[in-house]
Amino acid sequence: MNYRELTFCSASIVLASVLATLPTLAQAQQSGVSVALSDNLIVLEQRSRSGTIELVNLASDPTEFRVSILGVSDSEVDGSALIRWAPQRALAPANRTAPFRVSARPPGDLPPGEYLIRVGVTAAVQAPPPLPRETNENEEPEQGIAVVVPIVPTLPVTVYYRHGIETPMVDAQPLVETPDDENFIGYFPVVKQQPEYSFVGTVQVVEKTTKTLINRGRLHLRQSTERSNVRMPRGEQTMIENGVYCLQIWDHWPGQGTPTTEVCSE
Amino acid sequence: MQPLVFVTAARAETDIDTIEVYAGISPVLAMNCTDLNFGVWLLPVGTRAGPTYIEIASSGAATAQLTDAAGVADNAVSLSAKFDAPAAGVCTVTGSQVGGAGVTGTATITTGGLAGTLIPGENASAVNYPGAAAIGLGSFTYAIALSTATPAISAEGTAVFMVVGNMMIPAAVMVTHYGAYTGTAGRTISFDDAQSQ
Repeated sequence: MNYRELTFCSASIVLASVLATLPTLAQAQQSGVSVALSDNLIVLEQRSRSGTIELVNLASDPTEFRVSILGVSDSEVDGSALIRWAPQRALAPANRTAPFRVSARPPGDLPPGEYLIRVGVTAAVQAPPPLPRETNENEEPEQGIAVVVPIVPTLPVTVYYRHGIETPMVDAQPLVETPDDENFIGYFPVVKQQPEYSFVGTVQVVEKTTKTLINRGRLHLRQSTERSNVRMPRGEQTMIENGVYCLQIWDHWPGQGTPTTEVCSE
Repeated sequence: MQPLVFVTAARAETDIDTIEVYAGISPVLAMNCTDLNFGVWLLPVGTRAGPTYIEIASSGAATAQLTDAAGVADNAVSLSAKFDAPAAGVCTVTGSQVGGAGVTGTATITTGGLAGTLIPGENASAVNYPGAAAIGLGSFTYAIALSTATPAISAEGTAVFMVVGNMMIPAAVMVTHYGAYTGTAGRTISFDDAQSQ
């Protein structure tokens, strides 16, 4: 076999392999990769120094979760020396969960303050073997290039440990109306009382007269975030004539019982 | 001596008891990302005027723009219609607990950087046939970006953003370049729903 014949033979092998390879990658983008958690925030305190969230496998195949430390920004207080976490890897069976545990081990002379770590959780789905492609011998081979870049989603989990400090709270101001905003009626400005600490609490907007719930959710302000706005979406529930809207705030999540504070528009 | 035999009569009784039935559903924060697919491109062997760039628009539209190094349209390539069209990677977050407070999350590319190198994908051993020159791995590069770094979170706790980018086909295309390529490692994208200012 001379060089020309060898080249032709080799090229045929390449093109045949392209036929088998292109569909696999071209179809890979349809599946995607998922990661799921029961929550992405844990608050530890001196009286409750341990916590758990669940790594959630929503798929019908076993999923391996990998957890790695992400680090914190310069404006945050690193707690990696006193906050322990495990595991680094966990295999969750199909449609089951695996626990992710954290605990604080503060030294006796730890100064009062709030310390944190941030970890990233990634799921590696055990992909099934690729399906064989039906080949057609009469089909012309593709002289092409197929390119797919896999995207791996990661969900950060923030863990706070509050040592020797009061539960952080925010101050709320009355509703600021935004008539030109198509999506929101207005917003309640909130400002942290302790700028150096995070705030993790529950906010809820209700119409005072009818007790109609407008919206409810978690308010999480990082250590580096001093203020934010709790907005009121437009909608049938928020178009009550002469309605009086109140922002209720709990200093914990999920909020239960009587709100820690309440501010109403008058 | 006769053995003593004790006989105990059992009496059936009817009793009523209760059982507790427990069930519950709980929220879950989930994130799914589809791959960034640059598509399947047909092109002849030869040396071109310069590299050709295939770009997935920042809008996330499944169309590609082809230009050479000077920004001039290069028609010496064709998008195969037999396979899936080029598409941006789509990341969907569901189950955020921030509710309808009109906040935005923070999306970042946490590892892997913005640029990468492409390697032969599955069935790579078949592409690298014996006796052939090595495929120019360093010649195929790509870069990715996010459609937004601050995706809005809906009242239902959902946020959607896209991963876009461009890839470069080198000026000199050899028969050994034909094949399917994938990123050297998956690009890791994260999403945090803590409120910013």
